[in-house]
Amino acid sequence: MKRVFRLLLIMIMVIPFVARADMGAPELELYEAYVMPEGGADYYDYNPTTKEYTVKGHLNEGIIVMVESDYEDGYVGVFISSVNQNGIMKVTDIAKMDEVKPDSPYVSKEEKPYNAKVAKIGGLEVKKGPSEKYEYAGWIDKDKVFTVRYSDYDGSYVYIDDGEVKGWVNGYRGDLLYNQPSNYILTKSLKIDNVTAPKDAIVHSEWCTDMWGRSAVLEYNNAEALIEVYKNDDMILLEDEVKVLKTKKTIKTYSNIDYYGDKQKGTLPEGTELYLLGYGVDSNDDFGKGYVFEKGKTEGFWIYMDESALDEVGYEKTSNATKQEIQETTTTVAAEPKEVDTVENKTFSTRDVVIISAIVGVVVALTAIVVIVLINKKKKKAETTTVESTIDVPVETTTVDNTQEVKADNNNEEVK
Amino acid sequence: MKISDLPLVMVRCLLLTILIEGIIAIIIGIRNKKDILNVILANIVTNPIVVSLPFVFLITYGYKYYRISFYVLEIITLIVEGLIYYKVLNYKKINPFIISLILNGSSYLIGEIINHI
Repeated sequence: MKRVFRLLLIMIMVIPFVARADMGAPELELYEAYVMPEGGADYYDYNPTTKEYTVKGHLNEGIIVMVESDYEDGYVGVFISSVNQNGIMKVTDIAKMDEVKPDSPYVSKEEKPYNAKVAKIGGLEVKKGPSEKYEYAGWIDKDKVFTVRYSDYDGSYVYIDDGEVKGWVNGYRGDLLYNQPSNYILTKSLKIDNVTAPKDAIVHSEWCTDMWGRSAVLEYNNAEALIEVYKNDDMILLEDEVKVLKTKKTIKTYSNIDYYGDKQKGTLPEGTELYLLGYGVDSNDDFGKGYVFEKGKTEGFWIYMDESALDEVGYEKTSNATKQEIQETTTTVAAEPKEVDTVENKTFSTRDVVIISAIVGVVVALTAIVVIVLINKKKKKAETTTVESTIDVPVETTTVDNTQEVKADNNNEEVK
Repeated sequence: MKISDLPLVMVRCLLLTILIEGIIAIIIGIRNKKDILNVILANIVTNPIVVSLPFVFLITYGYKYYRISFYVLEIITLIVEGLIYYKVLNYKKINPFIISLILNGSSYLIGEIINHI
């Protein structure tokens, strides 16, 4: 028993080192900082022989640098990505970027705010700035919808402020879906979840990933699936209107045009009117082919977009051209969030739910401990009472004339 | 799972753990009714805290601390339940800390299997 205890004690003491090593705690925490002085600041080179700092260059106010190392005498080593150089700067010339607020010069304001939805299972971390290196600011659950009004320079991070949590989230590769309703026409049959949508069906999409995710959630007959749509000729993105073309000469039509070869379908005579639904990528990786409907018909096919063979004659509504209903693609976004200022209006936040659950857990645990103590205390009392009742009573002896009788209450022996 | 579903998750985890560990306890030879009750109560002591506390770390300090706290709490659970079994169980054929390891290990493994189905 003591050996087991000792073993366990050693295990507990080892945990912090194991956990720390496992989590890879670095010795120097890199952090981003920006150049503070209004007129900018110099950055230096250090000469170890002469122990002097010589000016290497000048950075304008607001330039962001990555602080990599500590030098003595109030200097730090930095990497300046804008000039792709290392240098040394005075600590007093830079300020740590603890939090990037929407009014920062490095934040883009969206002209048309749009909604975003958390798609990552388990939710997403919210950071204080648009980078993994910023401090933790909070957590948002999966399926949470919020309005994007600000993003960083390349749109990989977007700003969330829903009254509960404020900060930046990374929507990289499908962790966030963006509300950009659109319609697609299928150029071949496509499986969406467990439903097969036929060729020339129009499918709607409410949500799509960022440009790196290149995908959209396509919906058809109550089924939905996240499918790559960028440069995918299986579907053509539809606009509200389509171009009307007229053939100037006989042209070939195709059921398929791709790297593996063209499958000719037939020909169209001069003077045929066509609705151009969208462009596809040809074997030269150019948008040199078009998916069209012949006017009055509802079966699509491909043609080469040859300017010498086609004239643009006008526009037509897509619903008229395809003779199918097209879903609306306008969106509404929530108004700017207001601070919740009355207790009655405040509902339980995620944070409240977690704290209350933890408190309930502790109370339940303590109650169970009390119950364990009580039931086992009773058990001990019961055992003690049983032991007392089995103690032997002393034997009585009586003498009668020449015989002795020995009587025992609790045993069967009789001596005469 | 959404963090806001935590209360339901706690109840589900507790019930599953009691069921699995109760069955495993019977299989390893714990047959006394009081002993089975003590096994159940030991799980009520530890399980709600192990399930809920990591989420407190998650929302306060981030995902990294969620994982660390989860592993630390699992080890503390082994020790606490072992101590409880040492004090109250009549079943003496197996060391109480080994019982704790067997029961918790089984419920963890079976839980992982159920989550991945």
